[in-house]
Amino acid sequence: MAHIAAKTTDDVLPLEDRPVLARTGRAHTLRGGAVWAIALAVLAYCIWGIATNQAMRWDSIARFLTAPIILQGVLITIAIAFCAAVFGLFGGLVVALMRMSQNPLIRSIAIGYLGLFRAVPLLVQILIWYNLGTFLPRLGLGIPFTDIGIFGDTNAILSPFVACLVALALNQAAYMGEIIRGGLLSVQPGQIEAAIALGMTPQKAFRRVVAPQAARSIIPPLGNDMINLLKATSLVSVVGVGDLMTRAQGIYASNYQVIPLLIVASIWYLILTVLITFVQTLLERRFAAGATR
Amino acid sequence: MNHISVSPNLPLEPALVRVRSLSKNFGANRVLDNVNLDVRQGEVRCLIGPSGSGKSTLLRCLNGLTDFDDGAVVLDGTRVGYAERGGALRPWTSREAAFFRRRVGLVSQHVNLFSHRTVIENVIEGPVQVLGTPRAEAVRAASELLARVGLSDKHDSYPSQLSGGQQQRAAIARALAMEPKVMLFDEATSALDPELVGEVLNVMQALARDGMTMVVVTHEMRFAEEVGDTIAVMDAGRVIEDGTAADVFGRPTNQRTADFLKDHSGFRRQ
Repeated sequence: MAHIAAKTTDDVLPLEDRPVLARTGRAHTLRGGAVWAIALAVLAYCIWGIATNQAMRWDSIARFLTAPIILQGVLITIAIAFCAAVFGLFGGLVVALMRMSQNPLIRSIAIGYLGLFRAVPLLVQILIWYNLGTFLPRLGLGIPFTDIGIFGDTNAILSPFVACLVALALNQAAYMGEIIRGGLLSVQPGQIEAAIALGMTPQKAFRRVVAPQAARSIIPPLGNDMINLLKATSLVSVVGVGDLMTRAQGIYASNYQVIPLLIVASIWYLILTVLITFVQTLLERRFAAGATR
Repeated sequence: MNHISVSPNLPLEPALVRVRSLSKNFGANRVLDNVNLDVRQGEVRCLIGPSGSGKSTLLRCLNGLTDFDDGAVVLDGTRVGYAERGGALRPWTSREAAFFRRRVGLVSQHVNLFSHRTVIENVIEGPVQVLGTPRAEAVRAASELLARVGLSDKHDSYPSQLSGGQQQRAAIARALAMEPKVMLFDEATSALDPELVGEVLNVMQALARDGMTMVVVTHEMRFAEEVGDTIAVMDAGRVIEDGTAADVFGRPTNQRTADFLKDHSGFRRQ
């Protein structure tokens, strides 16, 4: 047996005295350098390929990026996204509170709403609201089975813009509802009890304790959802509302510069997404007080 | 005057808290079974007994956090949980309950300081939001309270930056800021590391010395014996023994009390 064991430092030195082998091998550095070189070369080749592609028409991209017709589309996209987001936030709060209600009827209504609006694809919802006039020619508020009330022509009330807004807002309320419910559930029940024991009414406890603590866990998924909403507005191009995507499509239908105009649209969606992310970061910082992580 | 049994060394005046024939069921489980209990002004009333004997439930009935099925709780002249109208009782609205709870401080096992607010913000939250005290005045009072519990240097710390003992002392200051008539302690030291228990008990002892009326659910037998004026021993939803600390610890009349105290004698001899 003894002839197998060679006399190396491993046998002589106690564990704590053995030298630590630093990872300073030159081979290691060289290999890292090679990986970087290859990666940069591939990247440079891709950029060069795109930049010199005749079909790219960089001049068109630059021209259309700030063309009034595109800028108006950007504004409409922002308007749709903003209105749907605001409605979705308040609608979502209502849905979340209904979903958490003690009353089984109210709870079932919320569950039904969530089931329906999360199941039907948004594109289908937009088309349904857009085409509602073919099914319900007149729309309004009134007493059932009488003529008393305010009514109007469905197509006049649900213009393509309003139809899209309704579709996005209702869909948004369903998703926001679950995000808000998740946030509310993340608040420790003991925090609410402490507020109640201090003599707060449930409403005040919600405002002062539950809401600010729930906000902490609502904001990251909220940011996700806002970005999804922004991009989902491109679906309204199927009914021609005049948003960014509709306009980009309209232009490339006549001048055949498909990829350049899609890139113009992408650049704008990217800019708006960066803005949303920025706001998300600010909000996260605002509500981070006292967080351990 | 009435049939309430009074220990000889206590003043003979109507109790600040009166619990009469209180019963409560959780399903088939009877958690409180015909409980009678008095707490007098300035008294430190300790509730001891094995886990699940109903101590915490009884405590939570005192400030209306838990409702009950039968009997009555009267605290500072107010019937807890119900309003009387035309000779009939109806349950409190949440507003009535909130208004009543201003008079009762609660410190619970799970500290529950508001995690998104600093220590001083926690302490002024009640006075400012519930009592409508001007903020500057509330901050002044809160600073004094924090000095009393030894947290003068922690005003602007968040709860997550404090040790368990510091958190619990801040929670005591938060409850005291409402200037309650009665302080309820629900196993205030049970969740703490052993070396942090002492600092919280010291604050509670100081509070007792200042004449605060306290109802203390505790497993700290030494605290109960030394600080408690009267001890109620609970078992299976009933008060099985009730008397002065000296009587209950020195001459328990009930066998179950004697057994319970023997099981917990390790806590006492230190």
